[in-house]
Amino acid sequence: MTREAFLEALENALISMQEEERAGVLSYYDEILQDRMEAGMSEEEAVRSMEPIEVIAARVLDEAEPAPQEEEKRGNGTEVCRPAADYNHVIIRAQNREVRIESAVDDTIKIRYQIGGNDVFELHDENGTLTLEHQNRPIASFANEAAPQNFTLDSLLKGIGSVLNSIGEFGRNVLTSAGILSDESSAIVLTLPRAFCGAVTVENRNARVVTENINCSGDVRVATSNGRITLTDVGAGSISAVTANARVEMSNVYARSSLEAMTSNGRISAVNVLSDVQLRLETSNGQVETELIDAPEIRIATSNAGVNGTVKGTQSLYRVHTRVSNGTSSLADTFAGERSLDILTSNGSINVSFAEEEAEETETEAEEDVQEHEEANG
Amino acid sequence: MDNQLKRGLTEACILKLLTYGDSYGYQLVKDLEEVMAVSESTLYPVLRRLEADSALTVYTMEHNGRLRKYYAVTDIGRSRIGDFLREWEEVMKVYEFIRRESK
Repeated sequence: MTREAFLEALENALISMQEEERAGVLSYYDEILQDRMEAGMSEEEAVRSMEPIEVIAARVLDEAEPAPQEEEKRGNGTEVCRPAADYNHVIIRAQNREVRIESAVDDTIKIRYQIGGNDVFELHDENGTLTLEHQNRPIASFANEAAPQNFTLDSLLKGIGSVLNSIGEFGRNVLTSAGILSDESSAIVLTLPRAFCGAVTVENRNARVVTENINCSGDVRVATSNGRITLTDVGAGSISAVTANARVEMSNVYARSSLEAMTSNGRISAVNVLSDVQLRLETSNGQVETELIDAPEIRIATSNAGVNGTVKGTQSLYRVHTRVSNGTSSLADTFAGERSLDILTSNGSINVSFAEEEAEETETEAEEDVQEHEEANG
Repeated sequence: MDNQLKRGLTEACILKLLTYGDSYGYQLVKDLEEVMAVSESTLYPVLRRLEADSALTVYTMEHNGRLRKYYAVTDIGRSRIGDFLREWEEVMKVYEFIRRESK
């Protein structure tokens, strides 16, 4: 085989590589061939002295991976990118993986995720609905696979090898891809335009869901279990956040229609949360904390814990109905008012006040101060 | 020899060889042969890796009417040789332990 034929065959074997990288490999082998010929070998001998092309290709392709660490990290990830105008519903169904929803300043829907060895991802795209389904094998089977086999010389050498691998990056990658170490990058990240004309549904299990800074014309429904739900700066048609054995945290959330947060064995916090129709905060075995919540109909229920905080507006706006067992209430029931506030708890107290009464007082005081000041000056 | 282990050893050997002077692919393979047999296909990814880590730099020079790539060790590469030796002191402790145990 001639030098040229060898290089051509090698080039073909490395066709899956990036062009630039492939050119580097080819010039490296060309240089060695020419150096061997210069050292006295014939062209034929030089080519014959090389390893078989399949061996070279296999090794180069195999080893090319860990070299550029940063790119590789991104490279392992998958990004789905679609024009937002084509969709009116995005659905993510996942397991054991954090789901994050964020916004960006462009008009695309992006879903980013890392694929580990135990993950199955499916993307469905029909009738304006984009659905990502994620499944992975249970954690128990990770542990079995990752557990060192018997203490063989081979596994020992591997251990030493990764010690030598200076920073130990190789080892970390192996652990991460086996799902042993999870980091930020393992989350499924959905990025929407800041104003998305559509609805978002997340159904997760055993992991948290974080939604930040999005505004949807449709409904936002988030459900998980054993993982908290966080909604920050979210606006939507109706909003529903349901989890179990974990808390729900909402801050600056607005629903044009109904807004509900439900959990069990977890607390609920609602800061600046408003609905034009109805607000429901329900938990068991968890405290409910509110700050400036606002809706024509507010219903708060818990057991074995208290309800604390403030409601926006004045008391006169609300018909207040409370039911407390084994606790005290800061609110008396009233029967007039356009809006309704229902609070139920057992084995806990209600310590809720209306924000605006306090605000009015300070305002009047301030007015009086101004008057006094003016009088003094006059 | 285990690939991971071999790669670590090859890295250290290449860096050590380069402390004697800049070198190129064919020459490195030949020089390495005296210590450990390393094929070109093993050497290449190691060189790339060392370059990516800034442990060595690459420059091209003309040689007999063609271009040849030369490798030069950097300060990072030199300090890596020190790291290697320190790490191997640890490894040798383990080695001694295992050797005692198997008697």
